[in-house]
Amino acid sequence: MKRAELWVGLALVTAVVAMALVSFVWTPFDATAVGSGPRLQSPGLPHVLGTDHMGIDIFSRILVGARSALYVGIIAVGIAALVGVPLGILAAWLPRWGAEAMMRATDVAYAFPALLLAILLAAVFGASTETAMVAIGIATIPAFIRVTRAGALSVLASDYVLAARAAGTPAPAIAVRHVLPNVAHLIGVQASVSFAMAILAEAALSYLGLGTPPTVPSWGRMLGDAQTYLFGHPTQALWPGLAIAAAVLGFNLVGDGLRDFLDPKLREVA
Amino acid sequence: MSAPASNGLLQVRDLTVAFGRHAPVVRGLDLDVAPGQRLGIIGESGSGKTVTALAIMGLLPDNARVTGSIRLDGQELVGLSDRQLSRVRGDTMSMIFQEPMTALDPTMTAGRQVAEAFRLHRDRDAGRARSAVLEMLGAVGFDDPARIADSYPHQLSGGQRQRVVTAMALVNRPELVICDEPTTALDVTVQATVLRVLDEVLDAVGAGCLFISHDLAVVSQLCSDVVVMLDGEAVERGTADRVFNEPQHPYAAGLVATARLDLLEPGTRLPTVADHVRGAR
Amino acid sequence: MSLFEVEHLTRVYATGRRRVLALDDVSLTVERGQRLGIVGESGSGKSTLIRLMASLDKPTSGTVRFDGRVVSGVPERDLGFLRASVQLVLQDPRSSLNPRMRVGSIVAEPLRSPLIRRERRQVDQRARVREVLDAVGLPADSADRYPHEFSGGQRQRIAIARALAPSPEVLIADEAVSALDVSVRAQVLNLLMGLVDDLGLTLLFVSHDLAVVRHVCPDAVVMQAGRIVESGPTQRLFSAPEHPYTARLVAAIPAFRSRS
Repeated sequence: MKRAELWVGLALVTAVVAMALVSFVWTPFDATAVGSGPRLQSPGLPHVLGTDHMGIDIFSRILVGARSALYVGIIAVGIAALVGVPLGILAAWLPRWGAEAMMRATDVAYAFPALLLAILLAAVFGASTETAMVAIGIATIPAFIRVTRAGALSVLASDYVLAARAAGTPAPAIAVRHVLPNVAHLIGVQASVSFAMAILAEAALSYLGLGTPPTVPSWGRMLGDAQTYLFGHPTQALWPGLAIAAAVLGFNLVGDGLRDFLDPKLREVA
Repeated sequence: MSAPASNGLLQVRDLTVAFGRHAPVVRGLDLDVAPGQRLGIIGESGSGKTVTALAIMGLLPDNARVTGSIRLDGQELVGLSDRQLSRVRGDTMSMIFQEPMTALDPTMTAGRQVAEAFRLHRDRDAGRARSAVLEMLGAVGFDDPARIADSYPHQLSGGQRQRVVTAMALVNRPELVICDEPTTALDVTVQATVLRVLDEVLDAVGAGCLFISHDLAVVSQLCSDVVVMLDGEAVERGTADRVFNEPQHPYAAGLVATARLDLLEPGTRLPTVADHVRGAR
Repeated sequence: MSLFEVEHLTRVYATGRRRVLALDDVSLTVERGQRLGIVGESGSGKSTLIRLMASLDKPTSGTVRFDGRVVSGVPERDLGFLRASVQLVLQDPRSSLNPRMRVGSIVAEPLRSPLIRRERRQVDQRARVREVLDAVGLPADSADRYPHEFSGGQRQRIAIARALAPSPEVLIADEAVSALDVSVRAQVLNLLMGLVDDLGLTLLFVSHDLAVVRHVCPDAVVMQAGRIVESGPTQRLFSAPEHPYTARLVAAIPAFRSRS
């Protein structure tokens, strides 16, 4: 059952990655040339998914849009993991009051909506893909701190860390040699779940005009543009919506699947 | 070694259990327990003793393939649906597990859990549940059954919890109680109490018992007969006295030798199973 | 001068508003070359005591001296001599070996410690790993494998090899055979006793199992609720226990019962 979920997830993720890669070498039509075809075409030939209000081939835009989705996901999750994982390990190590203070700060940050942060950053630095990525990345840091700390706490309480301390292993070496490898699976799960959320957040920000600029194809912006024509041309919103749903579902399923697959407790029983 | 065609309580014939596509972990096992008899199964991790217990209880996971025959009171259990089995479980036979904390629901008082076990199978007597529960808690050695009945598992010590579990297993006066390492997680002084209590209630109820343990001395205290399992097969069976004094199979002889620390001069080399069996682990 | 001098050691664990007295004014000396058993049930404070003696935890009050030097409450960077001299073998080798490290790195861990390297003359790590693996009866190619490829008894041998790597003077075995199958237990005990003899080690043998302690240790202390209630030659504790708790412990050892 669970194995099947993981495979479906991997298939969806592979499809999104393949779309992004293909778009670098080939798209049926130019994905950015305004007015290259008739406007608001229904699906058919030669435009398999139709054209949008600027006369651009939707299928081509979907392919190129996969790039922005993955780009945003990778950078945002990268920021969150690079900052969150070391902080999480540190929080596990801190004395009681220090950890307490740090985790309360994390709770506050966790409660702060990514959207609000993005609006703030957009107001200061201007709306761009980069601003959106940074905003999403910062907003995701607390999730990584929490999951890393929880894992690190149990590793630090383990007998092999006690043995390492008795063997005179200094703290940084314990962190690298013992803690990191044994929380890596938790971080991997969190990364794929956060990846899904980042794609969704990017879509939402672009939809609101706070993310990717209009000239660059993005699923969120396509959805926003399609809204105007929702009643006359409902398929305009369908394609980017499906793409977002597929990518988000894919990464979530991979995350869930990995969680079960990598859980050593579940494996030990078999 | 061939088991007699008994009119016994439990009759296991040619039991084989395999998981998925792996090699069988129990292979062609025969067991007989007469009414009121106590049979000890001795084995180490991986010997198949726990799997045997779960097979008899019908508690193996879905990927287990069970062949052979398990008869309880003449009724064939292999192939029964889970619903049919659950009518037998807890009523005609019950089980005591190793870890008393996980066997109890942390959100329910001890008394209510014993009562649940009682009501499940004696629904007509629901009104008498409380008195039956208190009586059973008294039987497992609690001086103040009412206070224990109103306690939650976390308010009880490990030994008290295991006695509550024992009360749950025996409240319906089963004919067969399967104990899987019931005292292994307990301290020695607590183990002594729990063993004594178990001995008494099994006698009082007149139940037969399948007692699984790696500890030979513990088995010798409770069981009249013994089966020694190695890699899924019974390699030795007989009365406890015979097996512990004149073991025939080299592996059984090795186990007995290593367990008799009391016969050794302190500081000397301990006898090992490998002394008796070539290629033992 | 005794090797270990423990004076009025007390350890209180505070979680929220609850305070647990894990160790209550314990004093103890261990002589060089002694094999001392520390017997007690769960909650007796025996694990707390040895963690404090190995300075893996700080006492609430009291002091621990090793070889005449105070080790309790001393910063880690000044503990090189203790880390090089005192090594631990813990109960369950499934949890005391990092599952994601190869056996070679696990055993070499004490040799890589900058603290221990300051104390010990430089050794060829690979050669030393091969040496101690051989001493515990494991093949040399074990170094390239992972812990899960070994049986329980073999894993405990790996843990013993790691403890031997820095050539310690003291071995602390914390329930070191309790998690093992009976058939393996005797082998690991024989190995431990042999190594202690051959290398002239001091052994602190912590166990709940009085029968095993009697076999391994000429002397023992009995702990209950954070205190040492009785100490003396193990034979005497068995034959003529003075404290009622010792008597209960001896009586509770499951004996072989004969029915004929």
